[in-house]
Amino acid sequence: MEILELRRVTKAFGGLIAVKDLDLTLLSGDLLGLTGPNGSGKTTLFNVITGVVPVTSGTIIFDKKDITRLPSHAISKSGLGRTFQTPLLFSNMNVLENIMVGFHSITRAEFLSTGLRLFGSRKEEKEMIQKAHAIMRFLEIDFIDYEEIATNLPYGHQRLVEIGRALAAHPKVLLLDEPAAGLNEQETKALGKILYRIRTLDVSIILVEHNMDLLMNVSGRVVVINYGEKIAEGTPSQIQRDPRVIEAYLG
Amino acid sequence: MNRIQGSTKNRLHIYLVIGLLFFICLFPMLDSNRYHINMGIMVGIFSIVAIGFNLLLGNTGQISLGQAAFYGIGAYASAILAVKASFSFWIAFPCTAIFCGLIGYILGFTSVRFKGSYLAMATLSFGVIFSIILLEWTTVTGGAGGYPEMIPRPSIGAFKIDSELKYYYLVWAFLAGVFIFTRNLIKSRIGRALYAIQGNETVAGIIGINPTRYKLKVFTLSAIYAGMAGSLYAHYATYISEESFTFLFSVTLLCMVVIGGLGSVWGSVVGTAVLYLLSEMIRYMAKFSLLPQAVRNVLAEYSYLLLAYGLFVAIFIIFLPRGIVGLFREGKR
Repeated sequence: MEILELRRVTKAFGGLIAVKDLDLTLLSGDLLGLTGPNGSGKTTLFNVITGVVPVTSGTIIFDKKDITRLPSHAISKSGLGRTFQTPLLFSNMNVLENIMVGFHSITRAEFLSTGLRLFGSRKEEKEMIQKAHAIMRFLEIDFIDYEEIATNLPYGHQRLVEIGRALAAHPKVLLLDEPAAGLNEQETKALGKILYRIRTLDVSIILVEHNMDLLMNVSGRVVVINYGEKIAEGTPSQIQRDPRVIEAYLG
Repeated sequence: MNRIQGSTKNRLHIYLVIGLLFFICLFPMLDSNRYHINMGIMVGIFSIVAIGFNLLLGNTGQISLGQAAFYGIGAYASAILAVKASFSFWIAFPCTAIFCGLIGYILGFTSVRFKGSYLAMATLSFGVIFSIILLEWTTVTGGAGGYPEMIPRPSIGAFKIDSELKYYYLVWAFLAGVFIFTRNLIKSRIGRALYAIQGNETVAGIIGINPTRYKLKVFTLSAIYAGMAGSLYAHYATYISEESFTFLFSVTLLCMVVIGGLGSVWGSVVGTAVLYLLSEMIRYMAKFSLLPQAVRNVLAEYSYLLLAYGLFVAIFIIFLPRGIVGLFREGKR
């Protein structure tokens, strides 16, 4: 079953066409690898899907719902999480709070109930603290000092905290933008393991990645784009033999 | 300090807070000087406005230079309700708070989409327009001469809150309520959402926070606080005039929260107290006959006071960006 479907999506910045007539389908439970040379439009595609920039034309269907024109907070609430190429954690919050803020769309307490510390909001807060710690254990970052300001952490840890923040909202689909960038070999291996573990939570993933080893290892299918257009799609082994892909990277 | 568990590693911090609380509760009983109690009352009233303003600026990252107008609307609305409609303070006060919230909501609705200096300009012009209305709409406001009739002091049944001492406790009871409510808010899901908006609006949106909605809510809440303070002020001073609600007060608020500590409720109160006492000290020194006349003239000039505020803010932003309360917190934020 398709969980996320892009139909002829185009994004133009003035005369520059960053994404062109792109069709993309993510099946429920799958991990779709997305790659392509630098500047090929991968991050723009994520920005378009998550409503950070408006679509020029085309339709985006998520979980049978048209999300093309929705603001990003509404898209997020419907179950789409993402991380950024450079981790964008909040420098005014500690590690635990950065994960807890991710619970926003699945928690309810508003101004009055939190201000008056009504029972419901206290209970919710307690649960959030416990769950945030559980997420840190799940991502094997529970050794980090959770009171540290998140942006003071080393890069690799920041990435995992950011994944934790996205996971907190129980997303159906997770968009990961180059999570292995800046990681060493050992950290990359650990990341691969964690990606498998995330999939056991019934989270479908689109993984943008330049690290081919990781991408080919974890993806069910791979899509390659260049200049905003899809140039190849298939299983990892098909992709590795595809002449257009080889040309795009070498030519 | 760990805000999640509410515990603190810093013992000094606890003692300091306990000491401050004792001082706040006992000082008007130990010191019967009416002038000093009056300062305590004004610090309490200003603190309520400052807490709301700090929530807006220090936690959500939104500027408002029209806060004095909400404070003024609160004062005038409460005065009119009490004098013209003969409402008791206890009815005028909540009506005023709701009315200010409504005005805040309307202004917020049109301006929270603006960013940075645009929001500053929008709120600033709101404040200026309000000042003009106060001066020109003489049939309602009394114009430059101030509100023409005396605003009654509140009473509970036969118990009249007529002395400074009683009013001090009334004001600080309200301040305590506002203080606790705001602190709870900051430590909750809402507080984190506000921090997220301050940190990065795009990312806040990505994790499901609607920035416009929360900014609007905080804007409204800060207007409600200012309105409450305005009402308390009107019923305390019994006479109000336009001078108390000008742009200068909005700027003073900004100085207060920067000096006290952005994003901290304690910071709002401490900053208010420090700046208010400082301005009173300067005013006192201007009358001090041992000083040479030239110095006294400078001290008496209000614009020099503002200059001093400006210097203070610059010094704090450069050397102590977390304000006075930042000195007593452990160094993470």
